[in-house]
Amino acid sequence: MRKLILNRRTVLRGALGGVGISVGLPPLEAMFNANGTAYAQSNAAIPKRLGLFFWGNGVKLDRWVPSTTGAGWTPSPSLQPFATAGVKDYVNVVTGMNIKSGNERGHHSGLTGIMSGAALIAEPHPNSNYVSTYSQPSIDQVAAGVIGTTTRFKSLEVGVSKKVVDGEGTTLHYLSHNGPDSFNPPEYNPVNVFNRLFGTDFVPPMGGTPVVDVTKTLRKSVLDAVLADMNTLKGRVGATDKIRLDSHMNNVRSLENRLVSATPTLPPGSTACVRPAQPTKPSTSGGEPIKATNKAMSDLIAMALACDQTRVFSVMFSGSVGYTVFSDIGITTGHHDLTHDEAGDQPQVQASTVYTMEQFAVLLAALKAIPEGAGNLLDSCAILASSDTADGRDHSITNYPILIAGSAGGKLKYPSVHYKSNGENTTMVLLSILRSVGLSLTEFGTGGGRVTTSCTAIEA
Amino acid sequence: MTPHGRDPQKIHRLRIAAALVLAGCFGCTGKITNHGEGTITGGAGSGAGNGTGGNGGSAPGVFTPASPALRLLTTAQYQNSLRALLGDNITLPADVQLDTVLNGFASIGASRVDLSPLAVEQLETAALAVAKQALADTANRGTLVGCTPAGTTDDACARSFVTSFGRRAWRRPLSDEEVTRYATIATTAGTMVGNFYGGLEYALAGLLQSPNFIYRAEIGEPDPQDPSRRILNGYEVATRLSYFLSATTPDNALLDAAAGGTLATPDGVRSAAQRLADAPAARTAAQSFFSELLRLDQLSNLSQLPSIFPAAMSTTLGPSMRTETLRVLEDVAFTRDADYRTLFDTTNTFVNGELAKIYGLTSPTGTAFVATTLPASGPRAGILGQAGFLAMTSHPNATSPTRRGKFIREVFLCQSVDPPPPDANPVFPPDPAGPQTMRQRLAAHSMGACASCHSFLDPIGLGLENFDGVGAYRTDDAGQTIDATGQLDGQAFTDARGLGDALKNHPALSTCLTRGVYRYALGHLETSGEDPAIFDLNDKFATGGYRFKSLLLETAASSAFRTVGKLD
Repeated sequence: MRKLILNRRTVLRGALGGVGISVGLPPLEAMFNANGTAYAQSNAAIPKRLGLFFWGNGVKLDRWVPSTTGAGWTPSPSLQPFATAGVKDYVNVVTGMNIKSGNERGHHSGLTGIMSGAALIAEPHPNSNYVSTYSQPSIDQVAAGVIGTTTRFKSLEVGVSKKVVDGEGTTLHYLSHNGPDSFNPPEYNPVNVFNRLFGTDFVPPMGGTPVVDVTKTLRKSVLDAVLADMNTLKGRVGATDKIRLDSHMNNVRSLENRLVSATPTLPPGSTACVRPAQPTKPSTSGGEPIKATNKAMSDLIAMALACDQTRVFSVMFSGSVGYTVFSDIGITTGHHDLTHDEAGDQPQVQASTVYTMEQFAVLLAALKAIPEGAGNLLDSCAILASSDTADGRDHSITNYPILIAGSAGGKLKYPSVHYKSNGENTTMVLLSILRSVGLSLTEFGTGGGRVTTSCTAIEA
Repeated sequence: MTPHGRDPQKIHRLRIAAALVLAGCFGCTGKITNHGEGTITGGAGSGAGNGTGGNGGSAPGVFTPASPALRLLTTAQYQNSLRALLGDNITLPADVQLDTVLNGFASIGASRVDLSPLAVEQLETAALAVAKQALADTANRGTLVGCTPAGTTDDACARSFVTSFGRRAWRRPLSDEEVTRYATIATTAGTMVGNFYGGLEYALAGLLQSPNFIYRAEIGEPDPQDPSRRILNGYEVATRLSYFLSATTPDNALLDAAAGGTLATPDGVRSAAQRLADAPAARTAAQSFFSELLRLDQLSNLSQLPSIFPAAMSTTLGPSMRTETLRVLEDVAFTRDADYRTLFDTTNTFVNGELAKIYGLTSPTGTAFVATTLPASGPRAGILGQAGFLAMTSHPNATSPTRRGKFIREVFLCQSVDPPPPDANPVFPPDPAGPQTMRQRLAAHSMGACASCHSFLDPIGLGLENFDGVGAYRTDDAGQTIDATGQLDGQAFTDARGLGDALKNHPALSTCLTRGVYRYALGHLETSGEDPAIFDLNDKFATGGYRFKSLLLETAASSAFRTVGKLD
């Protein structure tokens, strides 16, 4: 176990995985055309979007890995929901790859390995369970630093099941990370997500002159004062706290930018943006409303992308080591317990995996239902879907279950393929996904998780 | 046996229907360490130290404080502070979620994590909302503002409000520049919205989003006698005292004491601490401390299967269990001001109807909690006999002696237990010829490499086998009379009450509680340089008769409470 004399911030200094960190920029004057009404991008292409979909505690590999490879792959029992939902052609399947950033701790290691291509940082826990955090940003934030700089929200984080573990550090508690002990918590209430995206601050994208809103001007002046206070405080604190305050100040500036940014126009061919109706908070009588929450979140994500409110999102569907009870399918045991306790070939665990893939298929179907350009919104997405272990019962990190959904504007294989690797590094998939949404990377990942080649089998 | 699952509440899962044979439980090094008995740093966890059950006596060495860290308000502190600042009838924003629990305490996470983008938004929305509420309250805003505006704008009144409210909100006087910063916002906004109070809303919202409200800075000034450390100023001490003992922002009396310099001496701090510790808010604050220390949030997520415990299980049972434990703690620590260690053998408790049923009592029968005395020579006493502890250390359909032993080691003795090897994947054994008791099933744990860890855990928990998975008393398991004999670090017992006595007299018990209080108060895991302060506090705790209030006061009055290290 590592001792903590760790300036965790040193990990963030300098380039991360080959990409410099960018801070979200406000829309600059140079970006606009002469009318000040449209982003003057040269080819005004449909933007790429990157997403994450995470579920906890792995799968049953014998019922996950499709029996055939290449295009036209035969869905395994766990992947059948995609065929049923009519989205199979959008779901690339990669099996046989291994997490190579280490397996210091079950669940923790797989999670940071698949989401950031890097090892975890162990934190002190003198008389309690293991504690860890990420050493590197999760790939949603890596992408957001490049493709999230012009949208109202750099990224959007939602969660479905609240039964997550909060006693083992940020790795299990949150999905999207910016670095050690720095995270973007998911929002579990669809009403709150709606209010953030489409509440009183929402400005429907359309042509025309932005309206000056007195309230927003005043709110900005308040935030200016807060920033001034933070600068003063920054001069009085130590190095670690300076970095914490910088992070806070960036978040305040992002909030300011949302108040004063001009009305964006949509990419050409995007006509589906409509302020949705406010969802109702799903009822919790009879257990967690997983299906209803997942559906509401899927619809909100789809419309958020359609309205170009963000181009990066993550869904923490269920927690790593989480204790979600899938009561919809008659399960009464918490999920992590189930993966360790159920006897034999664990039919209930298998059923929970199928159910989870059904919910992921709901998200994909919602994206596919949004027309955009000559196709639909899912065409422009690259969504990584994975878990924190391969098999939950033995905490394995080989033959890792990985899905890549969407065709990333033609950069990913469509119709989809099943690529069965022979023990290659899972980070190759991360490199493919990041490149597919426009990041110019020659490598990604750190330590054992570092790669210089991508998973060409899923690339178009 | 199933492999060791890694979730925070449980060590590993036991297969109930089968005897257990462990194949290949390799790599379990079996190190148990008493945190702080040697030179363990806060970061080493298991794997260092001398591994003995030593006592908590003084260690040589000079107290070396840790570098200061900005401390975010926790969600509870934030809400309590808003109530204190704006009045009890303010509707609090439910959506502000500031907490990340680390090492069992939200206050430790608050010193480490970055404030997330979502939290920044929530704080803005909340600040604007409570500001609007408070200033729309025509009955009370006069008191809040402290002056009557002469018109749509009134710079003098705005300045006066920012000065007086700012001092409470930021827990220190504002500089002229700071007053101007926010008074200007009030005047500009008042002009734009055409209303004084409408304009003042923005100044108020700003004061509540400022880092000077959201963070507690504990920076101090360099100690002239020792440049390696810094002495907190009176306002910083007042803030620490108030959030430690009352979980809320310092009141005017405390801020006045800071201004008057009386918090610069141990006696001055002790006197202020006594006032806070005697107030009702101290009981609530202590209950939330104990709730974190004893991991009582697990009681909101009990997994006991109704099919196994049909009579007992309900959605209200876990919360009832939590209430019982917290009320007993409050009773020992505050109402009786008694020796904390009586927590482990007291027969005084507080139960409602559903708990009484589990305990085999005929009353009470309703939902109200009633002070109750358990049978003087019965099997059940102290926290180890409380349903909450017993239920949250059990499996859905059985007890878990291993988990109960681990909980006692970690929570009451501050001992760390090495994790099982990550690749432990024992083979399932064939079913035995007949039903086995839990003790018989666990016998396999004493074989091979697994024994080194499990021999420290299982014998403790097996002493509690007379209490089932929801804490009800039983004499038999699988048709055989339960054998509850065991030993705790050399102290033998024959039943749960004997285990309670062994724990009560364990030399590591009081130091462990002292550590918990220290971490909670200072918001960080103690480094090895701080162990001298902890041992000193433990000595004083003992001298004070192990009274919890005494420990609170000694902690507040200690030099460790007023001192931080160099900036990093």
